Amino acid sequence: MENIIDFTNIYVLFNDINYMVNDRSILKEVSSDSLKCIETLKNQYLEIKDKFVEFKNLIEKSSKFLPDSLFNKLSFRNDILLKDIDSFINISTPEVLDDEEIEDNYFNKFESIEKGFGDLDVITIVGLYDYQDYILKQIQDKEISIEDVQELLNLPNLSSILKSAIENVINTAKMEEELQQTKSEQTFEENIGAEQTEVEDEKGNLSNEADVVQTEQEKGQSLQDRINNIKYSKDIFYSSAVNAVLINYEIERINIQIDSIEKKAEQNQKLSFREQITLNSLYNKREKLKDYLLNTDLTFIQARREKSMEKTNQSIDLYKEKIEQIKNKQINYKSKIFKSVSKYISNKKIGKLNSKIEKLNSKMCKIQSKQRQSMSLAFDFKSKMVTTKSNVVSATTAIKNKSLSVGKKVVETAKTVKEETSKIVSDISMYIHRKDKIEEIVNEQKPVTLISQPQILSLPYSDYMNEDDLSMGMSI
Amino acid sequence: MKNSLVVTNLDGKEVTINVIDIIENSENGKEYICYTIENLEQIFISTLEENESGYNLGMVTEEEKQIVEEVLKQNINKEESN
Repeated sequence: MENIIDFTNIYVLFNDINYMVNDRSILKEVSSDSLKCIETLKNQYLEIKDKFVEFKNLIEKSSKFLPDSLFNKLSFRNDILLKDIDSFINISTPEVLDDEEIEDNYFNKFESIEKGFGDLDVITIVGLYDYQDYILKQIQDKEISIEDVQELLNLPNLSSILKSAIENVINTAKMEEELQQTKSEQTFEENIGAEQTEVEDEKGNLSNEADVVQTEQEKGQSLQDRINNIKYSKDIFYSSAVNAVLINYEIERINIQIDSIEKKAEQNQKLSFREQITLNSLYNKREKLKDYLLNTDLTFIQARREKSMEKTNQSIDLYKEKIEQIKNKQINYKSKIFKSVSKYISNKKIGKLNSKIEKLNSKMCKIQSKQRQSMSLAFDFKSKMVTTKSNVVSATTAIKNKSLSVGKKVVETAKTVKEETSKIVSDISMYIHRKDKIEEIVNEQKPVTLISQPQILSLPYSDYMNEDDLSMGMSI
Repeated sequence: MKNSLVVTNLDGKEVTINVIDIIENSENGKEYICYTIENLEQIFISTLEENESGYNLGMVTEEEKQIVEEVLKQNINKEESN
C-alpha cells in the first residue's frame, strides 16, 4: 500500500508543480524591464526548483516499483530540467543587457526549461496507464483491496484527472472481481456436474444436479418470459444474456429428454440400441451446449472487460485532450512571454537607437563646437595675422623710423666727426715731434715707471719698425 | 735696440720698450710717448710726465689718442712722399 501511496504522491506533487508553473505571475504580468523580468523568473525558478528536487527524491524512492520506462523518462527529464534551472539561476545578471545576451544566455535556457515543464507534464499524465495497471495488478495479486484503493481518494490535493483515474481503477477492479466470481461459480458448477456424471455413470443415474439448479431457478417460466426478464440494452451484454437464456432453455429441454430416457431405463432395466444412441447424443449435445454457455459467459466476461477497457480508454482520451489543452495553454503562455520578450527586445532596440541618436547628436554638437572653435581659431589666426601684419608694419615703420633716426644720427655723427676731424686737423698743427727728447730720455737713464694702462694705437706696427728692430723683436 | 728704455710696469716688473716718437702739445706743454713693447707687435701711447727721480708713463684720453694717431699718420705720409 505504501508503494501505491508513493506512486499517488508523485502525481499529487506534480500537480502542485504544475500549479506553480502555470500560475506564475510572469505569465500574467509583463514587466517592461527585461532585467526585472529575468530576476522574477530567477526567483520563480528557485521556488519551483525546490519542488523538482522533492519530485526527484520521490521518483528515486519509487524506483523499485515504478515501471522502468516511466522511471527512466521521469528521472531523465527531471534531471535535465534541474540542470537547466540551475544554469538559468547561476547566470550572473549583468548591469546592462544587450539583445544578443538576452537571446544567448537567458531565452534559450528559458525555452528549454519551459519545454521541460511541458514534457514532464505529458510523461506523468501518460504514465497514468502504468499507475492504473500497477494498482489493478496489486488488487489482482491480493496485495491490496478495492477498499484500500478507495482510501486513496481521501488523499489531499488530488487532481481531477488523478481522481478519475483512481475511480476507473476501482470500477475495473470491481468488475474483474465480479467476473472472477462468476467464473469461479461456473467452474464450481462444472466440477460438481462432472463428479455427478461420473458417479451416475457408474450407478447408471443420469440426473444432473447442476441442470436441476438451473431449471429450478427459472421453473414455471416460459422462454419468452425469461427473455423478457432480461433488461434490454443495445450492447453485447443483452445478446449474451439472451444467448445464455436460450442455451439454458435448450439444456433444460435436453435434461427432460435425458430424464425421461433414464427413467425408462430404470424401469426396463435395459435400453434399446436407439434409446442408448439418443441418450448418448443428448449427453453430447448437453455437453456442447454447456461449453457453448461457458463460452458465452466468457464472451460476456470478455465483453465486460472490453467495455471497461473502452471506458478506461475514453478516460485516457479525455486525459489526452486535457494534455493537449494544457500544452496549448502552455504554448499560448510561451507565445505571450516571447511576444513580451520581443517587445522588450524591440523596446530595447528602440532604446538603443535612441541612445545612438543621442550619441550622434552629442557627436554632432561636439563637431559643431569644434567647427566653431576652428572658426574662432581661424578668426583668431586672421586677427593675429592682421595684428602681426600691423605689428610688422609698425615694426617696419619703427625700423624705418629708427633707420631714419640712425641715419640722422649717422649724418649727425658724420657731421660731428667731420667737425671733430676738422678740429683735429686744426689741432694737429699744435703738436710737434720731439725727436730730441727721445735721445735725451734714453741717454739720461732715469727710471721710467708705467703708472697707468697705455692706449693702443690703430697704426700698423710694421710702419714703425725697421728690419733690425723686427728681427730683434722676433728674436726676443 | 736704438731707443730702448727699461720701464717698471704696474706689476713691478721691468719691461723694455722701444720709443718710436715723443710728441708735445705746444699749447699746454703736455708730452706723449709712442712706443712698442718687446714681444708685443702693437704701438702703445702714454703721457710722458717728468718728475724728480725720473719719468712716469700715464693715461691718455681717447681724444688725445686720436690726435696723436693723426699726427703720426701725417708724419709717415710726409716721409713716404719725401
